[in-house]
Amino acid sequence: MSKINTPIDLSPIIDTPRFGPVPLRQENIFSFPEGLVGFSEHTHFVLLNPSKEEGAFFWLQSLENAGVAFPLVEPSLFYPEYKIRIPVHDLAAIRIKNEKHAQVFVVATVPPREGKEIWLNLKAPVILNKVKKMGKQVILENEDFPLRYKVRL
Amino acid sequence: MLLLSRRRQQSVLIGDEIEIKVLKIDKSQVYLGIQAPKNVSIFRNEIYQALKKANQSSVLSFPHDIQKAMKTLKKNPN
Repeated sequence: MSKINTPIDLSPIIDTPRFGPVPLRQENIFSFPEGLVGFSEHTHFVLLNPSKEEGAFFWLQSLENAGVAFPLVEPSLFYPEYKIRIPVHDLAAIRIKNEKHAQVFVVATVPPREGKEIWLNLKAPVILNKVKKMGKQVILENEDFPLRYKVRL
Repeated sequence: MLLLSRRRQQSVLIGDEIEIKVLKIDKSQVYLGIQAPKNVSIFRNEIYQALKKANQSSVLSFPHDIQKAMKTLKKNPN
């Protein structure tokens, strides 16, 4: 009998058009009680950082519909002066009591076939509670951030 | 759609907990005060619609476009 030396990953798998089969590890699964704006039926996502080469890019892959995934970036990479005040009720919605538990991303859009610019939605960042594994797209209603901040490459 | 006319300082109630009050009326602008439970989200409709559109175009992004963008970024770092 041969010994199995490599640990077997018993995580369930979701098959996705962008990334192929993706193992669902508990630590990467986030619940979004309200979904994202216009995507309220998507309440569970897996956070992916598929390749080191993409560096700054993460993907929020829907578990409700494998075709839906949002590219996320850490705003500090492209917009270091991004200082936001998250309304208290938004923090409460994803049970953030300690700001160290929060991670801020912005939703990116890459217009196809160009590779010349990316757009960042600074008006509605995605806030994750790293501890409780919850998330919310927060609309900064009273702050003057652009909805389509263009980063020229 | 329900139509109601209100004067300054008058309000409408939606259910028990949501109150919308007319605070000030200018020529072409109305100032509303809204009282609602904290878990009720209130947005300007046009901002919400624009965000919805932004999210819809975001999900059309694909990894190969991002890789292309990142390559360009490495070539021309700011």
